[in-house]
Amino acid sequence: MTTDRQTFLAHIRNRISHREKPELATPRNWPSPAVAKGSREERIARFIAQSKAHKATIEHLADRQSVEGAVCDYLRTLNAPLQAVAAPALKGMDWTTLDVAFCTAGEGDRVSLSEPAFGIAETGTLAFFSGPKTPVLLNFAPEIEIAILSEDRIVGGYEDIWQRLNPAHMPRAVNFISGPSRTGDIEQTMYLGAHGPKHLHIILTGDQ
Amino acid sequence: MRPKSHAFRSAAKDALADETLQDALKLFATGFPEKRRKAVAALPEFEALREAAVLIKDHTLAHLDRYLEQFTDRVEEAGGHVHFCRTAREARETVVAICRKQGARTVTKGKSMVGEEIALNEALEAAGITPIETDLGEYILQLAKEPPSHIIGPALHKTKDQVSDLFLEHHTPLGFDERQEEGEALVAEARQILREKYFAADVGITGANFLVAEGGSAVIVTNEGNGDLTMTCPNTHIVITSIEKMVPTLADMTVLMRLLARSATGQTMSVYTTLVSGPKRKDDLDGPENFHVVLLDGGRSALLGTEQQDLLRCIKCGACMNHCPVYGAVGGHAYGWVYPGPIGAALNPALIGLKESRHLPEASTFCGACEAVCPVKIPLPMIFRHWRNQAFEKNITPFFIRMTLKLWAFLALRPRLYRRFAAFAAWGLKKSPPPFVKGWTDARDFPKPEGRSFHAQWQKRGGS
Ligand code: SF4
Repeated sequence: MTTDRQTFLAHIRNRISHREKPELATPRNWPSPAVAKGSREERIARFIAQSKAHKATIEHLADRQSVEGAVCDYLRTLNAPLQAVAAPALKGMDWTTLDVAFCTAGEGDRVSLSEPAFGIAETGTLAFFSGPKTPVLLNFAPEIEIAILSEDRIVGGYEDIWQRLNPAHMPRAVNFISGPSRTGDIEQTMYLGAHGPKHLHIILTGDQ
Repeated sequence: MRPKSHAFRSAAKDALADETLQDALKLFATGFPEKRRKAVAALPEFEALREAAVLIKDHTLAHLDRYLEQFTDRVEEAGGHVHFCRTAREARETVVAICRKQGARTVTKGKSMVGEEIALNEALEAAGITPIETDLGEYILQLAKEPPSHIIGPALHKTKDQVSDLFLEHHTPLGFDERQEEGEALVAEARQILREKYFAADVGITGANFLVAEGGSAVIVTNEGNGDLTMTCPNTHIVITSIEKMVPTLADMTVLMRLLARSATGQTMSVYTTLVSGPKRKDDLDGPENFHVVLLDGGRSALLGTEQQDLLRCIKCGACMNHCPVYGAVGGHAYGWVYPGPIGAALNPALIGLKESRHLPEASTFCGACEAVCPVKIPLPMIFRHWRNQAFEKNITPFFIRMTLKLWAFLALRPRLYRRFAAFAAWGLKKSPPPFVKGWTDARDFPKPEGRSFHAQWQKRGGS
């Protein structure tokens, strides 16, 4: 039914055998956008501006202590219940008012709290690495996602992400997320909340 | 999808007369090109990235065997499987067999042009498995029983009104019996209906925008998030894709990624870009237990080592069709097969044969807009010309056109005769419009020859 690997590859090899074979330098120094290389302040400012351009909302807090209050206030503005499924990575924080379950998200969960591995200034993108403490569906199943990111996790560009991954041992999923879910499939008009979260709220925290 | 490209001429005529389609296309012409222009202008490195993309793709294609091998090793190390399929039929059977093995009754599907190419939905249905399209555009088309008309916005030929009717008709039995007229409400209704399908499905099938050899990763790009729900919720994820999607490294993929969304929709990044490398790891809380990559050749390897190999650089961004005056006039369906617009006109002859698709390379004004916007600089007009030559050489071009061309060649090689014929023709054209070209003169004026011919004037002014 399928062609076996050796036959398939031999066929390809045969097809390309008479072509010149351009080599590429390693490491690859491809042009990368100037905006992907900035000082810490520039990176933070660009990350915030680009996230907003993607229609994410973003709140900048001085420290992690006030995160829970900010989460609750935000949920109240959306008339959402003070209840969330959260990444086990966030267990270390104080959760007293909010009803939190540390697990992945299922069909009925409305709100998730997630912890991106990095924020990328270049395009205002959150980078998530899947793992036992950071399940993937938190980013897709609920209607409201609140991502908690600390300032010192904001890198310039995608190159900075690859440096932190070993290509021979990739996480099962690396998710790059730029704003809430949307579709342009009806008359090219943009509507938010197609299948993934309709609201993506980023809480950016200072160093303390 | 069974090709209907041979009927391009009549399909194009129907499309021009279809008022609803023409309304939809009008909207289309103003949207994407302007968004792309802005996005490109905002990235000074865009041109340099295009140059890099060409190098990367050319290199990868020249070593495709090596990278396919590396990719396969990585996927297998991570616990996944790679299936090699020379033909559409092999690919269909492979996917159906995996679904059967899982005892699958329903599968959710992300948007996949390769899936369309191999007519996967029909094969699944024939095997008693229900496929559910989850990309909103594809979902609309599944209800309408129509093929996509654009590779990025598959349902852009549909108006909101038509979507309202379709939803009312198909969702009433599900308890949604109110006709929704607002876009927002239509999107919400589809969201609600598809939500439970993701979690109930036994298998999720997605395409891939890129494959990264060094990571054994499939890269899936969407704006809706449907691809991620499709690949994460069910117990089995099948990636159905084709061999030319390969790039060697993550750094190489980044170059293409920076070009893709800007060229396609004018976004800096699509909302979701996911690199998936194998099945669920031991302690993961979610993700599929089984991970399969079905790799289709489907006629692509026949392009390797030929002048048309550049076609395999295509990253399926859709920019060429967004800027094409012919596509803009007739829409995607007239092309009669999965890939419409300039890329279809250049690629389809290779994949479904020139006999079926010889009209497509003719459907060009040679304005060059497609090549100018193509992020990987595919010389599309040159490839149209190649297929036209081929059609002539292989006697596929119809008798009348061949004879006319031969007559012209005969005259052109005999300058004296040519001059006399030209003078006669000019005299004739001053009296009445040319014969046999009603199709052309119906929509345009044929200019009447004025004064003396260029040749005569050239000689008079002392040229030789
Ligand atoms: S040919 Fe070029 S412009 Fe057209 S879809 Fe492919 S990459 Fe995009």
